[in-house]
Amino acid sequence: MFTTPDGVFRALSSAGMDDWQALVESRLWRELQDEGHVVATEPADIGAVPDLLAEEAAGVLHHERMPLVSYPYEWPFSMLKDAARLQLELNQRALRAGLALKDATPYNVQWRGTRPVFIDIGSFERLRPGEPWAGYRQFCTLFLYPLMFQAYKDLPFHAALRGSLDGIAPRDARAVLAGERFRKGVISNVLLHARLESRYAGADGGEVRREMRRAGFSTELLAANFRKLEKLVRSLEWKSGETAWTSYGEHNTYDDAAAASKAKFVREAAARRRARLVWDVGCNDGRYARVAAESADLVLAFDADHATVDALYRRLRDEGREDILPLVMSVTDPSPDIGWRGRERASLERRGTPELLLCLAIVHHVCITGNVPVREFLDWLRSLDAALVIEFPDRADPMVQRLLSGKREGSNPDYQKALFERALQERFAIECSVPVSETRTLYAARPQA
Amino acid sequence: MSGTQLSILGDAVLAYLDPGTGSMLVQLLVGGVAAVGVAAKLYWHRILRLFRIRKTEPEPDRER
Repeated sequence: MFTTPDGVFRALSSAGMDDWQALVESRLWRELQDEGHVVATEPADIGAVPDLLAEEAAGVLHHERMPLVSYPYEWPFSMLKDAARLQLELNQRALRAGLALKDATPYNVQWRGTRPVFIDIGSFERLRPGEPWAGYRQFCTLFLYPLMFQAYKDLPFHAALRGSLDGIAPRDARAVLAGERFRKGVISNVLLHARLESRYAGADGGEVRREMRRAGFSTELLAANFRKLEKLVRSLEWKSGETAWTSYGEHNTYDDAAAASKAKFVREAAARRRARLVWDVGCNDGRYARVAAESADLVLAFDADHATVDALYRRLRDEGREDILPLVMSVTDPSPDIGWRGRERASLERRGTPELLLCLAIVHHVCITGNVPVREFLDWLRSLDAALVIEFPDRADPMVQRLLSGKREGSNPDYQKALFERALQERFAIECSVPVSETRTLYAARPQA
Repeated sequence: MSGTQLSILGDAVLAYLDPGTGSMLVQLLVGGVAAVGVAAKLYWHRILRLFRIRKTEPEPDRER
């Protein structure tokens, strides 16, 4: 894969070119392109990719560029579930077209807002009848086990996926899910899988594959497996319950008039210049992300509270929104560069910085709960070089009081409105500010040159 | 940005999978009744043989 200013290119080997030919000649390809389930792709000239030697590649494809790349350790449960369902749907439809997908990783799924798009064209290949699904183990480690952790154990999967790009190994899944053996899919996909994997660790894979073909492993069996997995994934539900945040939108500390004036302020600030990308930091129920989306191509709405983001995703998905991407992420612990040489999966900032930042009712959580000095937080915001809308609740604010109540007297002495304003002015030109309540003030600002 | 760079999509171009033997075998069982039925109808005895053959192989690591 190559990213150039002209877009995303994929170099194919001659075997890859054969598989690509099989794919484009199938009716499935046209359908998938029309439905938008698969990234828009066309053949390109090898010369389109500089530094690529002709002998290294038999052909080159050009892909549509996704607006913003995201990773499964940033997705809420329902997003990972929908990505898993897309993967299985593609597997089933490919099978009917005489094709297969050779792997099964959520990193092959990206999002147009809340619509999943499969991006790995190189995953399609000609079906080899009688062969089991090569992607099954990966489907388990990166889709199924994370979903089961959340659905069966209420155990967030993000740390496990961020901790290992290979996901959760069968034996590790067994350690967590052994007590859930009567839940759907656990005995076969987890317990037996882990057992067979250790039992046959040294076996000759080619020999087993031949034996399985002779034993009658057929395309029908493959189809039955996909159907069964699809039913299993569909049945997985996360009863997220009510966290401190899921009902925040209804029970927050302002009245309706304050919320309306806040929305008006955000709307006017966002409308000053149409943004390609907005970050809504600590988006909560997404109310202001929706307002910002009126004047933006895409709003990345992120929040550390998984249940809140899951609820937001489901609402936006049901509305068919393509202009808001909801992710689970803490601003005090954002996604880092990971994988091979730290280049496989990029930190959030390396994937595209915003032109507008919304920091509404977040600075007290970062600076008091997260113990990030106010100036340090503003330094980071300034480094993003974007227009800023920020809300500052002063020390008398009931929520600030609550956050401070668990701390020693005089904690976070830099958390003062006057100090905040001075630090803000040192980094940004304040365009306007209005009080939204007795204890909260909104500022719209531009970075100082 | 000039020239080319390793894509941040980090596509596993060279990393398509060896599914692993255990992961292949378990696929004879994950399909539930329908899948097992298909397998059973065809060559169930061969599957049994397959499992038996593997079991009779010496496992020096575990005997120690």
